[in-house]
Amino acid sequence: MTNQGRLTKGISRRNVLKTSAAAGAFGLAGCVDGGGGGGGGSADFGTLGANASTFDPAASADASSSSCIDLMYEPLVGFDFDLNPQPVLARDWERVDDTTFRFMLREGVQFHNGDEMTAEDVQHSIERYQGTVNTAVVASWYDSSEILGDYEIQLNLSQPYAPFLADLSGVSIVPAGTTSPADGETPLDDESQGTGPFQFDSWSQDDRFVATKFDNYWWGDVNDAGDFSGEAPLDEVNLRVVVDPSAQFNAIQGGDVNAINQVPPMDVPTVEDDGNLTLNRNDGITFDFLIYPVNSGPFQNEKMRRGITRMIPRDDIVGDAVFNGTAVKGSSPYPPILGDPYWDEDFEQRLLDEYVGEDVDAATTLLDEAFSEEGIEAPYQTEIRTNENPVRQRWCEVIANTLSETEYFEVSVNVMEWSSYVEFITGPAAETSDMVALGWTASADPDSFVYQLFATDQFTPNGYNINHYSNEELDSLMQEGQTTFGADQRGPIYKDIAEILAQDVPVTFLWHGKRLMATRDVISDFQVHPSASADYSGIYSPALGQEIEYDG
Amino acid sequence: MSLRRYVAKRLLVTIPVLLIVTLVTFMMSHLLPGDPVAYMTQFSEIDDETVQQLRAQYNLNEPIWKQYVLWLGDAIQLEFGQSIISERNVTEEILSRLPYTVLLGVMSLGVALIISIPTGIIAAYKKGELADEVSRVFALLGVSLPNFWLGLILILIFSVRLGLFPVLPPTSYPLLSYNMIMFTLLPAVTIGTASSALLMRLMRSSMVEELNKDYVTMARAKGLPERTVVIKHVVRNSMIAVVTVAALQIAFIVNGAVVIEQVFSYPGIGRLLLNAVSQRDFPIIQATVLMIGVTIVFANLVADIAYAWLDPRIRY
Amino acid sequence: MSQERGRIRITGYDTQTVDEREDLSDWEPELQSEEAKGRMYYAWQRFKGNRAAVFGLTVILLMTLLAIFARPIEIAGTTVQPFSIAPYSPSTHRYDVATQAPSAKYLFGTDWAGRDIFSRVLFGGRWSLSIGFIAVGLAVFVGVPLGAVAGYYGGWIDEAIMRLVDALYAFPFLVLAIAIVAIVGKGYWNMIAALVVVGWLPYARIIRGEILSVKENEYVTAAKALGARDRAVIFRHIVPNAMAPVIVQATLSIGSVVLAAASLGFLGLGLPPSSAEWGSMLSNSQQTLHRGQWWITLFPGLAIFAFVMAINLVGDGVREAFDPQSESGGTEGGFR
Repeated sequence: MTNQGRLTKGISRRNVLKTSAAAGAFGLAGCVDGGGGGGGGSADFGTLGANASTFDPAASADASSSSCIDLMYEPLVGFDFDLNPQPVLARDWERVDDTTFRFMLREGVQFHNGDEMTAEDVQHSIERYQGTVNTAVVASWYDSSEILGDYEIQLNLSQPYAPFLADLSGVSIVPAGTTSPADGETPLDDESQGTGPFQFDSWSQDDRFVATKFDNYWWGDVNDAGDFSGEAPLDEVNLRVVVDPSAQFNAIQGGDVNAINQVPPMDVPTVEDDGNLTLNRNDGITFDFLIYPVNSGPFQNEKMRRGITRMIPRDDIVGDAVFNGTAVKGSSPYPPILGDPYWDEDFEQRLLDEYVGEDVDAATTLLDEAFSEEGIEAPYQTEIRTNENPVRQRWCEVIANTLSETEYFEVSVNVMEWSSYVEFITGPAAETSDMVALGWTASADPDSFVYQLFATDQFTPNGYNINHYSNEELDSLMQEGQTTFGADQRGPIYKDIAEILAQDVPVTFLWHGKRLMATRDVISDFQVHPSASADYSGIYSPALGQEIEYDG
Repeated sequence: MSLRRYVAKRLLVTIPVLLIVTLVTFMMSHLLPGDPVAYMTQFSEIDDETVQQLRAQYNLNEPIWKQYVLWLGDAIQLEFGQSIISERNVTEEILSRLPYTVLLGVMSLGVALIISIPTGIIAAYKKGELADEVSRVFALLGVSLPNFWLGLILILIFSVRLGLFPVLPPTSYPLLSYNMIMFTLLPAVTIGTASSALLMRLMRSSMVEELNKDYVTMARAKGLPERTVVIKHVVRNSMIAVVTVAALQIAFIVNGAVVIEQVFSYPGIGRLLLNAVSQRDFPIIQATVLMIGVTIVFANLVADIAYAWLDPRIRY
Repeated sequence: MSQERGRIRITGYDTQTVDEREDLSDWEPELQSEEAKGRMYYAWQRFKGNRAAVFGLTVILLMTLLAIFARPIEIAGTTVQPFSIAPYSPSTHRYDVATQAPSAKYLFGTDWAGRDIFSRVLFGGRWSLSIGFIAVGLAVFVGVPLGAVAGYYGGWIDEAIMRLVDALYAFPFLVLAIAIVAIVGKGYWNMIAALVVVGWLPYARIIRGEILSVKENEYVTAAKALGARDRAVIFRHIVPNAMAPVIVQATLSIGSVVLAAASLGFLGLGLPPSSAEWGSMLSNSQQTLHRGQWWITLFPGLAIFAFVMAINLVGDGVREAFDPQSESGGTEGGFR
């Protein structure tokens, strides 16, 4: 899992048009509840919410591609289901000094082509990312590396960079010599060359992804295999492309698939009531947010932004209106799973009380002042732009409705198709006077929740600073956070960042979603990974302490 | 006039129609405000080289009439370029979905005929009686029901209560397999019932007409059993009108398919078109619309010719 | 076209007139053809006698009234229509009563935002009805002149227009509408525009056909001999005559247009998602089916169905009123 965050329903920065992650689009009702796969056909394992666009780790920028890739490729260091770093292809590492790290690699790890992994492959894998869509995975820290032996490599950082491990977890190890998308080649789209427990079998657009078990997976030879088997518990992973969450739901109820990766919050009670289904949940590393065009129109006024923020009915939305408790409201960008010292309840509550919590009286005062300072008349007309993601549409409607019911605003919801939406936010969004609704998926490091969104050098289209917000103090704090090691030292820095963001309100952080997946009873012990790009890592990730039992 | 002359005349008329169809489709991308490529890429960070490539692909540097000719030339060879989103060859994408829609269309037509012909016959026979009135009501129902609503209701009934059909397209099975056909059945019924409304009334009225004819009275007078009369002569003659109209139902069925494929998540051309619209994938939108238009023009042509062949009075 | 042996049939002769005519009336022959007016009058008489058609008309009128009086209408700040039949506002969110089954309090139940579906259905009628009438009206407005021009002038104008009609007919209506929306975008007027672009075709053909068959009639030649200009001839003489089939077609088309608009709304190509338009309401309902929330799907669909059925009854009635001999049962109405 890389430190580089991603707009939920991810986009590729460089070549936007190539995105095929059609976000939950046209409401498609699944067909009909049916007996498993019609007459004895075996059920597929799971679902993908959109087409995968590539199977090359260096080229993937969307969640579906990443979920497939995650089955076939591995990094040196991984983050487990509680977001703690674990050794995967590296069995150990040490921090020599602030800019030097040494990694000891496992021996006897085979790639899918039979070759053994060595330090040379690691070096090539890291450098392979340069010049690709995912160059940020290495560009923030990589300076050079030295091969100290077949199984030992030293990485030299260009600066002290705390999110380094998180970034490194996003580097998939491939054989040296594998050409790179930066050269225009995507050899891994046809054949996988990873170390993961599954290898690529086939891909059919709008239909399915198939991966088969890799018999020589390295865990079998490891000394401390523990409770986990040496190879994957199933021969084949079959993932169907089913865009609409309701269709996914119909599919699992009907027994057509055994796992789904999108459970609409509204269906949570139904899943819990169904004896054949298990609801798997975990905290996520995401947040939904509302972006204000801070450089245009009345939104330049901080009171305006804060007034709107104070109106937003988070409790309603997180509760009955939309999420049914599968999201937890947030005032800072950090989700609960980051834990101490980045997140604590008191701090969150304080931000809510002082700056951003729902408070209609405070909102009214702020808006009155804002309107008179900006010289605008009520009701002020504006739009919230969103894509077709049904849950997002819904909470946008709720917010728009809440604002429109006051005398201050007339807000409509502008639902855009995915590609237009992406094109809008990476382009002119900063100059319009519409609000934008968005979701953000980050990583295990707190930096990934703020840097790409708020730094001055991350203005779109270079980064994801969509409204071109610029704050020097924030920039230097973020810089400090990046270059300081040790959670205890970093904690206060990031809290300061959160406080500035709460005061300035360039965006309103709304809530943090939980990761929800559902599985049928043929699968036991499934876990959902907090990251949205490793949905099926719960199948078999012994290095992260997870494996299912499968009766399929 | 002779059949040959009629065919020739019809073909002659069809050519300008086809040209206009292609022209309309071509104009679609040029009706966009501004330059088509600029419109498609206006918000993204595309380097100049790719822009030039796209412009070359669309021949945008040529005068517009030349662009049309070039595009037409490509279109005839079924060369539509690549999908913007998936980067696959457009023709391939369409051809991979086409069989499903064809299957759906054929089954819909089948359903329509199975419903409409017997009911039309009975209604004609029992003209004025209850059966006739009932069929009339049914016809009205068929035309008035929103087809997507019917589809949703069918899902509601068969899904929440019964559960007889697969949820996801059983694409691992071949097109004509039992699984696939079962999956197609419900959407086919949805489209077919609406189509059958029209066909049934037509069957009825043409049978009524036939039954009044001299040869029927003659056959009855001769003492032929009623069944022979009806089946051997009347039905066959009535079918002419029905069969030719059935061919014209293709347009109706495509209309229905676009919406119904959405409702049932059916992997056909209709869904392809809607997804393309959702993602502004113009090569696919253009190619699909063109293909549909051309198909229907030819279907009409074939229907007209068949009708003329079967009923010489029609050739004007 | 029925052939009954041994009976001489005289067509175009209306027995009602004879029955009702007074023997010593002051009837005077008139030079100007009154056929158009006369036809209307008699057609209305026949229509009145058709119970199904009258029923349909009543339903339409009822639905129109409900739509108008559902919620207050304000024009430029002044309240033009103050009544509010709908018990609740169609747009207020109330999460505590969300997704409730139909009850005494909420006749049609509530949706996910706690909005009363009964109120929304009543209010939503405005969209569907207005789109139906406006789109058809505009289509007539476009199609009739074009068809008239084609028919009257003949020659290459005729050929060009008719080939265009043939070509546009080749596209299934919904496919073309979707393509148009892809280009011009979503929205109320965009949708109407798409419906008009495909909708004008039948009227052009009808008018042209009527003109062709009537062109040689004596009164036209007479008018021309008297020096009337072409335009006057077309519009004063031919078009009024040809209006009858146009009216029939238009009435039948309203149903198809409303269905098509609902389809576009359902596909998400119409109005914004929170709109109370019946098709859009159904598009939101898709996700609720498997949760057993049947009322969200049932009622908007019933509303569409009721309206379209009623207008089709009216349309059938209109057609029979104008041409009582027609035996056809096939509804040629509207779009394919």
